[in-house]
Amino acid sequence: MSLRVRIIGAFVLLVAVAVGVGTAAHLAEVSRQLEASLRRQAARVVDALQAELAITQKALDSELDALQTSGRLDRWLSVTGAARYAQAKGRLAQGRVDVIKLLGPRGDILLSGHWPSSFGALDPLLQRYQGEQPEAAVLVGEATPLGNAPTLERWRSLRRGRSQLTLVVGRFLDLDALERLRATVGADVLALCRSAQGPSSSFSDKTVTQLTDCVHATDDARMADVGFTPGQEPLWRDRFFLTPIQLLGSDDFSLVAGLSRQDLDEVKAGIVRRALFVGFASAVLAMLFGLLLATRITRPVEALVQAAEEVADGNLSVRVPVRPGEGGPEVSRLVDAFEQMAADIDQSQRELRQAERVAAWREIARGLAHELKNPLTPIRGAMDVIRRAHRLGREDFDAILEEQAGAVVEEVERLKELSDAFARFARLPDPSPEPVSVSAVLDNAVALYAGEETRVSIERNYVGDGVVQADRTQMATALTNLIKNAVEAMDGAGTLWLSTRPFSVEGEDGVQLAIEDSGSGISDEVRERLFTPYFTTKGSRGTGLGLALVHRIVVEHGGRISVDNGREGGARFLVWWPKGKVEA
Amino acid sequence: MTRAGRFWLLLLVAAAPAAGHRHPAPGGQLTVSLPAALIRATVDAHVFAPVVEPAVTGRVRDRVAHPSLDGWPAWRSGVVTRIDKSADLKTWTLVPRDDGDRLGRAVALCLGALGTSNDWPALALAGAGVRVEVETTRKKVTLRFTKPVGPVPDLLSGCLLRGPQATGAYVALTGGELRRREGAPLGPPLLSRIVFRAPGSPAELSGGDPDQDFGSTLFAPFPDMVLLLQAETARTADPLGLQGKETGRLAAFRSELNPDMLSGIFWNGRGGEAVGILPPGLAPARPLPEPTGLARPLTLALDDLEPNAPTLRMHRVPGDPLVDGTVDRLALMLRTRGLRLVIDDPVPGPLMDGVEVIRWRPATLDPALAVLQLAGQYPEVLARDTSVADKLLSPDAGERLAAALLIETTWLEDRKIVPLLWAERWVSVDSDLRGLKLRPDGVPLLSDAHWGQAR
Repeated sequence: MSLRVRIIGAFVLLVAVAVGVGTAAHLAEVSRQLEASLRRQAARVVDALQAELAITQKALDSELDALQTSGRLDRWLSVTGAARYAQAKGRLAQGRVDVIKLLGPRGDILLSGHWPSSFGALDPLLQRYQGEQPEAAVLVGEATPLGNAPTLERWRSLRRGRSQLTLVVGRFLDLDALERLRATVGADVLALCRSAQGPSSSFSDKTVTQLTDCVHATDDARMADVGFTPGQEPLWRDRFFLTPIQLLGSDDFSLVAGLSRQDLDEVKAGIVRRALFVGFASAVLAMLFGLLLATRITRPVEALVQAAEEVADGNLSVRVPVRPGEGGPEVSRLVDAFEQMAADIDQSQRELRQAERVAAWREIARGLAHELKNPLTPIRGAMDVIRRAHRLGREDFDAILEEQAGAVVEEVERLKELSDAFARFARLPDPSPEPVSVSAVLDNAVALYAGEETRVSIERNYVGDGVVQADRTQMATALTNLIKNAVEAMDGAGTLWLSTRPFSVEGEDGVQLAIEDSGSGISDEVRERLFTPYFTTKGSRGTGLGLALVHRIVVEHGGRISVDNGREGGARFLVWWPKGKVEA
Repeated sequence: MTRAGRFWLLLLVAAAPAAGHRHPAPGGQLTVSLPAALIRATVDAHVFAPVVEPAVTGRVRDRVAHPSLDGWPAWRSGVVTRIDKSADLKTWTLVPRDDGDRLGRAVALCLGALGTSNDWPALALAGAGVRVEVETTRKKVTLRFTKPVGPVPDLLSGCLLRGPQATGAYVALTGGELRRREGAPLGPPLLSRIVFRAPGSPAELSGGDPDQDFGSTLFAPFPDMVLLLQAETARTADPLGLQGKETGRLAAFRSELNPDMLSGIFWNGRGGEAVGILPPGLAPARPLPEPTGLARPLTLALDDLEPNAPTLRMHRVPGDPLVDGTVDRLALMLRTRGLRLVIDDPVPGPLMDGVEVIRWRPATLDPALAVLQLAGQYPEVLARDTSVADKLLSPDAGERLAAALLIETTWLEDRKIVPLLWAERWVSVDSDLRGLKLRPDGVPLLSDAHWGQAR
């Protein structure tokens, strides 16, 4: 990962952490405050509910009083059949109460306004409460044809003649009543639930999660917003702040008031949304700022890196493109030092090249002087013999003259050959590249040695097309010299292995050819100086410029040449020729 | 005075009362308030003429004024002039008084030849498994039954000459009013207008409300029956404890039900315990499978039901106070037995599950056709009794009666149908109204109704 990316990432991370921590803290505080507000609101709802229930109880007591004191009850008792029930039904129709029952001494129903057909049945009310009237209204499951309806009831014992009767009045706490109650007290949900564990003596045993078999009164629109489906108990427990209220005198039922958490959830969701938005925007700004800052910091470094790479490639005249003051004084000093270093290296290389050129010329001059001296010495010697023989008037002067003149001519030829080779070496023209098949040039070069009259066997192994951009003549010169050396190294008899294959060097495609002979090989000392001009192992038969010429041709084409020992102890010359590059 | 003069004087004297009787006090208006279920039938009964009506009985002059059909002394008609039958009783021919096409179409509709019909004759034929084809020309209408049918005139008495125009004594106007029609087949009615008021509203004639009782009361010839139909599954499960060898169970059931009390609470006391399926007054006195043995009714109690208590589905048509009260009582009896009742409206088709409380009233005075009508409404009750069902259409009234009573006994013994209670049907009417009749199905007939004092 680059320096720039790391700097930008650090900025973004910093901002994200800051925003995240801040949001979490804010969210926690807001939740705490909203929960506290919800609790206070719930407490007000509970108070309102208690007040409403107290009003209901008072109304029930009033109805008991009214029935007793008005004489209506006595009138009911004085009639039978339809008239009795008609009157009770009429009283119920006035809406003060939902239940009017008259129970006999055994608890048998003498009259039931809401279930007229239940005459004669035993009502469990008296048996459950042992005839004792609790102080508050009792929530019982009042029997109806379709099951039990939660009902707040009050009753009163009275005597008529010798009979002990019980007058019961009640108010259904059914769904409609719950809905009215809910709307009055301002709750979002009001439910009447049974305890899953049945009646118990202590209300504190119960928790909201233990309540089941609930009848709910809800704000349907609001419930629809939160996706409530009636009967999904666990769902609405999560969505609402619930407060159970023990109904006075009842252990079986609990009234549960709920306030929707929707507002709280919406506020929290809003905070999160805003935090996300701010976080995203901050991250973008941080990224932009980080990018700006990172660029200012890393651009000089990158420029230095690029310059170093160019220096490594050989461009010592490179200049680091950094504006004055960019990146700070440290970067400026670094840039100056780098440029100075590059200049010093350039100077050193120039001096080195100059020294090398001087050394090379010295070497060439020394070699040339040495080579020149070799034939000149026998020429001087021969002339001295001729002059002495002439001075002495020797009788075999003609024979001596002939012999010595022949030696002089031979040395002069030798001088001429040396001069031609040197001229060739010195005057190597610029290559004219064209597509050349290496294997074809090899075959042409080896053709002289492949005939029946020669004792050299040729083995070829050409892989690939072996076509490169090269000066055909110079390549032929080089390969011919190599093959000639190889044949001479085998004394004219042996095996010559020729091979070509595609080969890449430092990412550049090319062709590698190998010329291997079965001669005596090359020692390490000779290998080091093999391509030096005027170095020869052939004594007076060699000019010492052949392999130097090959080396120069290959190098000027951008290739490489090396030598090692082959498979049977002979020498193996490896030449790598680039495919499409020609060094001018 | 000559003999001829005495003859004409006698004739004049005899004619005057007859004429006075026939036209006591024409004109006037009558307000009517009936249960919603009866309004349509009552309007139709007055707007469309019956194909066949019971013959006039009583005084000779009445019989002379309204002669019966040839060969059918029990029936008269203002629509057909003759009814003929084939020897095998499968082909019957009606000769219309006017347009055979209208008669043929009305009869085809009524007998169910054109598809499902709710008219009781179609139900009766369906209950007997009989199909009919009706062939119509201008001069006659031919009925072809797939089985021999004896009481065809009885069936035709339940058919009205329906059509786009009124064929009866009245024509219906918008706003719930009937106006007298001069072209009535058997002469124009005496009342000029009949105005229908909403059910339960004050009216000069009202019916169906047990709390409304004023003026004179005219009872129907037989009461309604409140019956309990049990599906096969319910009979097997026997939630009410009616099956079994203990013969006291039925008595115990009736004791728990307490029909007299139910009738007292919900039907003004004009009802009682039913022991048969056919209403008393329709079927003659007959031996019925009475329960014997000790009756030990349960002590009914309102203890809590278990949360997973088994349930029984009970169907009923809502809105009838007597039926609702009976269903509530049955709910109490089932609750004591630990069952929870689920009350539903009736479902179309045969009763496959649970029970149904019905308030049933035959539309005919013939017990056999009444049984077939019930079977047509509830085909599951007659499904296995087809061997006797054919006799229900015998031309012999006695044979039909015997078959009807046999089937009734079978239903009672199998507990397919359990009679619960009977409830009178009556109308309360202004004391001054004369000539009101009640059709067997409880529809008041006002064609001959008139005010004693002109209004």
